[in-house]
Amino acid sequence: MVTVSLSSPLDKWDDVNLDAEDGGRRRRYEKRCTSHHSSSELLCLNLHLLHYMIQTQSHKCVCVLQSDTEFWDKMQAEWEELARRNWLEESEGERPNPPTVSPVEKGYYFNTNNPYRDWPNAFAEGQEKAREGDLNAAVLLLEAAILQDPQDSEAWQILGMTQAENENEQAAIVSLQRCLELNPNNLPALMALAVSFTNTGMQREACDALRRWISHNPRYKHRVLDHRSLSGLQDVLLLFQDAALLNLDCVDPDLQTGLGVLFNLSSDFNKAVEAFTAALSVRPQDYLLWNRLGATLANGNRSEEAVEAYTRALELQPGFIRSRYNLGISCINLGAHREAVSNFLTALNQQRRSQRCSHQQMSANIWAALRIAISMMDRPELFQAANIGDLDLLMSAFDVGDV
Amino acid sequence: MKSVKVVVVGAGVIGFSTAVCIAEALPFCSVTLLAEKFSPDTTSDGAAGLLFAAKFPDIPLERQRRWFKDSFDHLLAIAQSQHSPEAGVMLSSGWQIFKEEPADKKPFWSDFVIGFRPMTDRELNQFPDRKFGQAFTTIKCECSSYLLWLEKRFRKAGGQVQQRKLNSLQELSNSYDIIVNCSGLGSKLLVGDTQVYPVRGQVLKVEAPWLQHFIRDGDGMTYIYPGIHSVTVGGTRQEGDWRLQVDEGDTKSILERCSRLVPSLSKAKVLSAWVGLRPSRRNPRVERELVQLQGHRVPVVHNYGHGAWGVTLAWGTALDALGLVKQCLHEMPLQAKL
Repeated sequence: MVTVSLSSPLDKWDDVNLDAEDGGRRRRYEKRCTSHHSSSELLCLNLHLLHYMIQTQSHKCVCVLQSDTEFWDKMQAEWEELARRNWLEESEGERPNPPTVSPVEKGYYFNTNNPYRDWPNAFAEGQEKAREGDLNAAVLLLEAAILQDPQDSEAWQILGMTQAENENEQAAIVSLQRCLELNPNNLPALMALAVSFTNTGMQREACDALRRWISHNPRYKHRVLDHRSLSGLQDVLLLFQDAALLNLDCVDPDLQTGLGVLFNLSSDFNKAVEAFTAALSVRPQDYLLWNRLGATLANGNRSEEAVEAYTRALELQPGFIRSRYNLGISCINLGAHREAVSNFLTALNQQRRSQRCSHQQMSANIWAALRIAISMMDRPELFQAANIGDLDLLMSAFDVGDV
Repeated sequence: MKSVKVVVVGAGVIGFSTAVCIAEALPFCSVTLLAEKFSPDTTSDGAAGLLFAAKFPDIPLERQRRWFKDSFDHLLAIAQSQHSPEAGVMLSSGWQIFKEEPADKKPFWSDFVIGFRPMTDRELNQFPDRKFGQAFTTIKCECSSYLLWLEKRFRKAGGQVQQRKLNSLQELSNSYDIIVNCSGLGSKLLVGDTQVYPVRGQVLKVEAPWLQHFIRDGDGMTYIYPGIHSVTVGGTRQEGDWRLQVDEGDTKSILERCSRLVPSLSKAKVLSAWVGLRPSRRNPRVERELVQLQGHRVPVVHNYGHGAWGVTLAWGTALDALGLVKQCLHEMPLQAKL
């Protein structure tokens, strides 16, 4: 059976990422991007080139510069579109040999046809939309802000954090890395990056980000100087535990968050729960923390409690796609497949809603989790709908309305 | 997204049936079938493949009935479709005959085959020293065709096939999330099961196109099964006997016994002789467990030990194994994101 994967470049990052260990897909993507085009597509590009040559010939020097830029812009757009389409085409075919490429994608793929492309005040509005939980609009506005000023490290930071909330981990990682290239000491970006690396199983990178976080943190950096060479999980954990001892009379929620992440990395889920709970005692309205607590509980086989934590997160932020996704996962683990399906459909619908061009921002892994939940319900006819990405059919089959 | 990697070990009728069930029902799993021997070198290849069954002592009858019915219905649909010749699945009518009236005159599978009834006196008359018999129409599934057909179906569902000798499940622990063990007698070595043992069976293929009905002696020692290309006659049941060579004494005994039932068989030309080791066990093992492999616990679904009834129960137990794989998936929590 051919699995049609309906995905945008953003989605595909998740696929890439899930396979990061064997890296098979990554290579296929690169291969396809550079050399794998159907003859008709190549022909189309060649005609373009021919057309361009004729044009520049006949117009000689008239405005060559301008048409040149235009052409290359167009060319660029077309190549991107090709890359996108090739991504779509390759479903679950054969896997080539695993290459040795870093699983960290360096380029960020912007949404095409961004309606906010030239929006004034895009950053402030994007930030506002993110606060409101309209994650798609936030992503588009923040992308617009970055297209207007690619050096805006804060925009990259907020974009990265928003992409994580929107369950697009790989886009989050790329954005946060770009932010840190521009501003290496951005503490929230380092923490968010550590979380994203933890979620993708990249323990070394996660530890490194946390070591950087604590050694740039004005409260703790004086203690780190002599530990600079230490970056193993246990070393970094010791750094954080030492630092926590400094705060006996008060709780630093950020430090506790770091501890929670580190305990997750070492699969010490009960200690991680304590750390996030401590952080929540200071910031009870922080929906990110509630979700982190929930995910920790879930990964430590405490799904019932996890559901409570996610529910709290979603009360505080109904548009929090990641937490909705996690809630669905916990439902699967509790055997409540129908509820799981309903949560995944709600999340996908939220991702689709603010942007009518449908599948652009839907997460591939939410679709994948949805397929798993449906296949466990023994509903083959609906499985097919999930396979081809027919959200409307599934929503009506499961009575999921617009929320 | 193919997120879960499943490996099925064994390329006999149990292995391929199970692999097909999983690959078709769980498209998000990438399924690899791995085996040392493939058709025509599997035990299934020599099996006559006539569908009926004996009762296993410790498995709820309801479950055995389901295994039988699921397998029968699956194969009947093939027999009645255009796939019949390619898959080597056909209907076959005939008799099971007894020297003494059996205690259980109506076996548990009698409702699932077609037209099951006691034999009439006139039917019984052709077998002088037989007191009782059952007439019915059942399925004959010839694995030399059926395995290839299943393999095609498996590949079509995205399955991959790998030829390799496996010495231990440890070799698989880093490459797969779920292991499905359909290695039959191989389980003795692979999972250290001391309860699985061979029951040697020798059969002959003879040319006797005038024979159209299957005849099976109730003791299971002597049988005549007309097939698509030849008639399979047998057999032997030698417990604990690992010899794979043809035994001339057995050949002689088979021909004698079968000719006594059907005298014209003495005129049939013997085409070939074949020996297989039935992967026998007090009860087939269709269950799952978590096995500690190289530091992590890997779910293993077992489906082996069907003895003489592999072809009869393959699809039914494969569906059970699929259910067990689903349970493994269920307990394999998807990771939550911080």
